[in-house]
Amino acid sequence: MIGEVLGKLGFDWKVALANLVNFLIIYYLLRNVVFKKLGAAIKERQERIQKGLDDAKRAESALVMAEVEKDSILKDAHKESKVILEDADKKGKKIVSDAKTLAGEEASKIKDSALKDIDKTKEQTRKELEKEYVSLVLDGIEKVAKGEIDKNKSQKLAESLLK
Amino acid sequence: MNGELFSFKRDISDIGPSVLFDILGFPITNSTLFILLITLGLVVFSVLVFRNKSLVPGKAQAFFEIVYEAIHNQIKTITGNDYHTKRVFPIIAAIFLFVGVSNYLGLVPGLSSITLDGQSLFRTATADFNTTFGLAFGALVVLHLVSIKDFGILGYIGKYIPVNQIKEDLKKGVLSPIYVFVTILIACLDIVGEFAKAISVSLRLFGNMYAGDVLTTILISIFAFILPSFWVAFGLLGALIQTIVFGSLITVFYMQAAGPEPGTEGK
Repeated sequence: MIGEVLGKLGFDWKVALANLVNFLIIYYLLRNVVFKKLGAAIKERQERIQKGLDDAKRAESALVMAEVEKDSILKDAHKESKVILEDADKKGKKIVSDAKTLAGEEASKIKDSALKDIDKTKEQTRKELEKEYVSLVLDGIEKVAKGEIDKNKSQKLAESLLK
Repeated sequence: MNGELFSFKRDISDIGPSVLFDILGFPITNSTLFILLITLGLVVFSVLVFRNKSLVPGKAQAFFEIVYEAIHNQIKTITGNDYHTKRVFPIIAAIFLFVGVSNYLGLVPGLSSITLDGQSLFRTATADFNTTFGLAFGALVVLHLVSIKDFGILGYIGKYIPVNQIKEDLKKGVLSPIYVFVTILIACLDIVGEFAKAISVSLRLFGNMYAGDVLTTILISIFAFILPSFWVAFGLLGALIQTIVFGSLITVFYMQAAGPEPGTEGK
C-alpha cells in the first residue's frame, strides 16, 4: 500500500538512489573543498583578529602601567626636587649666615688689630714725645744753666720747639 | 483579443520527474540533471572563489563565508554545543546548501522551459519526491549509524526495544500483560516513527516546492504579467524557509539520535 502511495508521488527507488548518490558527490565536494578552505580561512582570520585584540589589550595594559609608572616617577621627581630646593635653600642661608659671621669676625679682628696698631702708635708716639720732652727739658735746663736764655729767647725757643 | 495575449497556457508538470534516458538501467530524470547542474555550478563557483582566496575576502568569498557562518550558527543553535556542531556540520551544511541552491535555482525563469523532445530538461530537484526522500532517508541512515557508534549496538537496540521497561512491567501483578502490551506498542510506534520521519520531512519539502511550481504555472496561465511576480517574490522567502525547516529538522533528528558530548555524561 505504501509502495502504491509513493508510486503516485512519482517515487522510483532507482531515481531516488541516483539522486542520493549525486547529492553525496556534492557533499564530498563541499566537505573536502569548500568547507575545508572556508573553515581554514575563517579560522585564520579569527585567530588574527583575536591576536590583534590580545595585542591591543596587552598594549593598553602596558600603556596604563606606563602611565602609572610615569606618574610615580613624576611624583618622586617632584618630591626629590622639593627636597633639593629646600636643601639648597637651607645651604644658601647657612652660607650667607656663615659668611656674615665670618665677615663679622674678620671685621672685629681687623678692628682689634687697628685698635692695637693705634694703641701701639700712640704708645710709641707717647714714648717718643717723652723722649723729646726729656731732651727738651734737658736742653732747656742746660741753656738756662748757661745763662743763654732770657725771657725773649725762652719764648722763641718754646715756639720753635712746638712747631 | 481573447485574453491569451496576457496569459501563457502551460501544462502543469507531472508529480513525478520525466525520465530522459537510462544509464546501466538507472533512469536519468530531469531532476537528476538539475542536481548535476548544481554540482557543475558549485564546482565552477568554488574554483572561481578559491582561486583568489585571501585573508581579506572579495565579494564572492565574503558571500560564501556569510552563508557558511549562518548555517554554522543555525546548527549550533539547535545542537547547543561545539562538539556536536563540528561533528554534524559538513553533512547538515551540505543539505542546507543543496536544498537552498535547488530551491532558488528552481525560481530562475526559463530554466524549466528548456526542453528536449517536448520534455523539460531540468526540474527543481526538491520538487521531486525521489530527491527529497533519498536525501532524508540517506541522512537518517547516517544518523542511525551515528547513534549505533555513540550508544553501541545493544544501547541502540535498547532505545527501541525497552527490555528493562518490560521487566519492570512484568512485576506489576495481574495488570502486567497490559503494561507489557502498551510498552511494546509504544516501541513499535517509535520504530514506525523513525520511518515516518524520513517520509514526513521529504513530503513537507517536496509538497511545498511542487505546490510552488504548480501555483506559478496556474498564475501564469491566468495572467502572465505582474501577478506571478508577487508569487515569485513570495517564493524567494518560501525557498529560504523550506531550506531552514528541512536542515533544522535533520539537525533535530541528529540530536535525538546522537549520544551526549564525551565528558559530559551524567551531567
